[in-house]
Amino acid sequence: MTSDVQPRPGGAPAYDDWDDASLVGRSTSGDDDAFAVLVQRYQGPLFRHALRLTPDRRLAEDVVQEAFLTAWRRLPTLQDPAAFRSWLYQITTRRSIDAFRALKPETPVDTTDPEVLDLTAPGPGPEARAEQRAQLGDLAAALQELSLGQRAAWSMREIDGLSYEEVAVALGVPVSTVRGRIARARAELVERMASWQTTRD
Amino acid sequence: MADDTRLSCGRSIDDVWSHLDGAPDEHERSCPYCLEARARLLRLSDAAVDLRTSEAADPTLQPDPGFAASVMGLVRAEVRRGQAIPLDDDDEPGLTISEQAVVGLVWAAADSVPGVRARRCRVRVALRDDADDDAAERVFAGGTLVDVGLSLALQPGTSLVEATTLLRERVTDRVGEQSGLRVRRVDLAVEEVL
Repeated sequence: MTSDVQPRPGGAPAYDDWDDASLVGRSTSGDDDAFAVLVQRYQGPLFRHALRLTPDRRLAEDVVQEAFLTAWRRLPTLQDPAAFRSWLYQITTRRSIDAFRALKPETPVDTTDPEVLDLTAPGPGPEARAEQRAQLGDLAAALQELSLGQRAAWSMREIDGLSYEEVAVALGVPVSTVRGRIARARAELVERMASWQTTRD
Repeated sequence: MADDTRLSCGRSIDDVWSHLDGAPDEHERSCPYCLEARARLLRLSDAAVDLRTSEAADPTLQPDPGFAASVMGLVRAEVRRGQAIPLDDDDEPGLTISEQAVVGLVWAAADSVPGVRARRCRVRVALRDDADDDAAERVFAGGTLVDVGLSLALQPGTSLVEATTLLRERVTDRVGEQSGLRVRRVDLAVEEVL
């Protein structure tokens, strides 16, 4: 056989080194083995993204599971395979914020309001895990003090490596809004990490 | 609201950030505000890389070990089979094959062609082009005729003509041999050279 693809016992090719767009294309046409590789690839980053927005592990897992399931159902309508990643982040971000609001019933919940992400409610305080990690803890803690919208935008860009355009899709806001939010997040983060500076007046 | 990302010299954090990968420009080299902002942003950038690396390796920041399997359990409960394609020349067919099964044959054939990554695929019953009385009439010629649409990516250095010729051949053969359907047309769309 002149195949450049190593067949697995199940007959499906070894997808592990495949590019996202090809895996998304296969998944779009119902290839669940290809989708399984995308789940493997994104479960960690999405879970950590959800944990940044909602403090509860169980909740974060529920949110990410729902994101994958929703993505699987919607895949047949996906026109541009490159949009898949921002889609996963969009669903995860929205659900995380909804879940976070649901945990705090005194906060008005209006998921139809596109500005819901702009609420400046600070997140949960610095977590114990963050405190154990010296300087990294400083950034993790500073991040938790940002508004939800800034934290989501900054971390998708700087931690998850999404483009500004992808972040805009994920947050459902214009790219200019994303740029502004990330710039403010950077400004606030460098302020909050001032303790790193040895020669500060 | 005052613009809190603007430095005292008038430049914005974004301006400084956009030069961070390269050398500071002339203004930045002589501007204490920009130099300080630059130093801080560089520290932030380094810290972000460190945070990403350490979080990705942190065992407490992974989903539970069974998480992916449980997601895939739910996904596989909703596997899409596509439409049922009749295999015999009967208006009330007794025997059909699912589109998904045929798509699987197309992928297997395409994956066997060096340099090809088969992506999206659709298999449709071929309809008679010249039918004016019944536009939906399908074609049976010793097997139901189908049209295959396939998107693909090519590995660098792959000959487009050779790969697609071989691909059409193998798809036609494999689908014919293993499903009894006859492939009328294979429409290929090369989306990308990887």
